[in-house]
Amino acid sequence: MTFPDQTSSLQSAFEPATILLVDDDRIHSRLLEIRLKTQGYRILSVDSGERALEQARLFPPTVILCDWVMDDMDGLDVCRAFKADSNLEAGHFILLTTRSRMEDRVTGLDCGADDFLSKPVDPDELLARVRSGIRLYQANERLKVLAEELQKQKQRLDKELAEAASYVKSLLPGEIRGPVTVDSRFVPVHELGGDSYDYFWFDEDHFVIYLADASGHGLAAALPSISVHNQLRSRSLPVDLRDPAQVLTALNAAFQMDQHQGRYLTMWYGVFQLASRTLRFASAGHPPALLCPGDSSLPMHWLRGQGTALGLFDDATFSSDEVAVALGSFLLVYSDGIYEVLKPAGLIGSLPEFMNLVEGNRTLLHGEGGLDGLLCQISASAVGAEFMDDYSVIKATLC
Amino acid sequence: MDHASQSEVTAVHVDPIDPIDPAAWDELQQLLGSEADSVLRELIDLYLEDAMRLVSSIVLAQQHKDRYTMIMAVHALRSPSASLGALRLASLGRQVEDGLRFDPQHWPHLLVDQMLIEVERVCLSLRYRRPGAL
Repeated sequence: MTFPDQTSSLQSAFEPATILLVDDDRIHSRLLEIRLKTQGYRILSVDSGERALEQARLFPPTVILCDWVMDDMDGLDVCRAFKADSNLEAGHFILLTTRSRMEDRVTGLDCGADDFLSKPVDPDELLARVRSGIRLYQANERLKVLAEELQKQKQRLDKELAEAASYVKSLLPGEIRGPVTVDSRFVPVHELGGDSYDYFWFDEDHFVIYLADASGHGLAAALPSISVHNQLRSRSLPVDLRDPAQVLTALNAAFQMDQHQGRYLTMWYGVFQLASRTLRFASAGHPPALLCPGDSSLPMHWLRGQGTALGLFDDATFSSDEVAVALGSFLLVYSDGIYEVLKPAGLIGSLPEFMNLVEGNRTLLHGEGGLDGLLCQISASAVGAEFMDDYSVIKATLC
Repeated sequence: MDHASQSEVTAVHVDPIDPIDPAAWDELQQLLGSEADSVLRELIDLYLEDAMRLVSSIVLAQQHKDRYTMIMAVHALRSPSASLGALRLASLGRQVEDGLRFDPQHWPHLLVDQMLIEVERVCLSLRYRRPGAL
């Protein structure tokens, strides 16, 4: 048996490739050893499969040259054992055989052998196959390193996205009570989505509520939404926040998609004036909000706007509409992810279906846990449905 | 000797030609280069040591018609024989091995006998070729 010079089990890029010879034919093995040593390889030579495994666990080989026919463990058994061991499977396994039948080669390949060499081995072919095996081994090792690096980067990115998602969530408002009571849900399907919303008292008489939905997912989608949120919350937008059309016009000017990686935003923006009990609103390509009076004999209103999504056209115009708000009404604002669910058979939920569902659950929605009740109804309406996109929903009760 | 046919027995003969292929031997010497003498001594000693053991196994397997033992012993003899240029012995070994593997109804008495005679010739020739031999 030949022992390597070094005791380290790690092969660095600067160490010679390790070739493990497994053959109970001592003469053949010795001749191979002489031939391979001339190339500067480190040679380990053993005469049985059991010893091959022991040796390989100490010094994982780059290439294994293993005789097929041996007592006890034959070459196929040795090959299976190597390929079943996660620490050894990377070694390039060459079966030495006097068998030339196709069935034998198929059997060898099925056992995981990477190559074959016919005995007696031609010296030039031996060296060529070994060189080829070393190249494949090294290419696989490089791929492994790249895969590990990619995995690490993905983990780092996931962590950063999770932190960003946590930040986005921290920006969203909580439940508020008073003349206006608001409950909301934000459900990102991915770590970070493009939804954002806010509601706040602009002054004692005006309550602002909006929901924005940026196209796409991830950081690129979240950033425009966060920016909108910060501008409105900090009141740095140079317009009157009580005027929905002005707000959307200003945001459209600030968020042209050619400056934001092709992203655009849909947005529904409303301002409830307590004294006049009116709601002024405007929409930028967003699904209609619902205004539902507390008195079930009064009709519900779907509040559609006329504007296009923010960022699409720099000369887009937006107009505000106004509706009277009956006592005890609630306002429901949501993003399209709430109804664009993937149903069995590949169907995708639609806005009309959602509107029917909401109208059919008017009484349920008016209750204290109305929002959760609605979400349960959506899940129940399509068993097995899968939310494809982030979704947000706000229910504001305008007392 | 087991029941081989009369024609098989009479067919066994000793070939006067050198059992070591001269071209293969030259190639081996070239491969070993400057260390040829010491390595050839080592290889021939290994061969003679293994051949004695394997011939014993072959004779016993012949007596007991032990197919598996015969195949393993012949296979173990065949490969080193080819490495040292004993190509006729390797060829006979292959015929014995193939006969036993693929024709289970027939026992290749004649071929085994020929092979045993050839082993003797190969060992003799290698002793003669061993560097340092008189």
